[in-house]
Amino acid sequence: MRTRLALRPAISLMVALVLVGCRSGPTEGWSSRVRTMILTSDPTEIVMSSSKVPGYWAREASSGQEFFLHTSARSFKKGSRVTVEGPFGSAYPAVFRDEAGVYLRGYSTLVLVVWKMEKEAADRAPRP
Amino acid sequence: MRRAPEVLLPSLLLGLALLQAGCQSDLRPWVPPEDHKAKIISEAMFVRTGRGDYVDGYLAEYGAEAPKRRMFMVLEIPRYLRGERLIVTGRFTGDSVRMSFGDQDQETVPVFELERGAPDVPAAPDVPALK
Repeated sequence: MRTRLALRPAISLMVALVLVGCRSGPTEGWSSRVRTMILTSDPTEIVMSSSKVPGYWAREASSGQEFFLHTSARSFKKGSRVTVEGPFGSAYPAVFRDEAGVYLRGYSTLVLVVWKMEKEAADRAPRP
Repeated sequence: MRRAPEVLLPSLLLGLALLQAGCQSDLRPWVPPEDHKAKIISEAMFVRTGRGDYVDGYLAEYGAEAPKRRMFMVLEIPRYLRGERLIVTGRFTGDSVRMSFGDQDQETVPVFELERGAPDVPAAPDVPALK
């Protein structure tokens, strides 16, 4: 009986730590810091849970990490440097990679929901 | 002795629930995906399957021997064109689509769920260089 009482705080602490561990996702995914991306596609779409999700494929300029930027904007072009803000998370959508003509179901990628997207200042400046 | 029903009853109920779930389940045993060389022989279609699902896809033919076998290739982003040759990876779902071809009676075409489709580009012939 005494042993059980002694164990109770330790078990409670362990449960609390496990719960905290389960609840804390990658905080990076929910930050809204500005990221610079290079668009690697024209406007396209992916399919998640049988719903079409419009946007662009892009690579983060600093890390080279690939993202799908979910936005209904269609005014950007492949190769543009843009700054985006918004949360992201990993997903397994169905995708069609236009450049290779390859269809993939359950493609592992990061989807960023665009809150704000604009051409990077350097990309906007007129070139001589 | 008096605690026996307390212990046995939940176990019995859990066992019955699992048994019922197992009997009513539509789950099929896992089968590995198959690779086929296929040719798309229709435009993109939106059809109702025998099980009542509405799906996008293409009619395709596959197999080395003549006559080629037909399948209804289901995919979520239909961007291919009629006549394209693909190497497809996926699974037959056990579902089917009823289709008519020309003046023939309706035919039951098996549904193939596409996981990966890539253009089938034949390798260039290995021609020795001129000396």
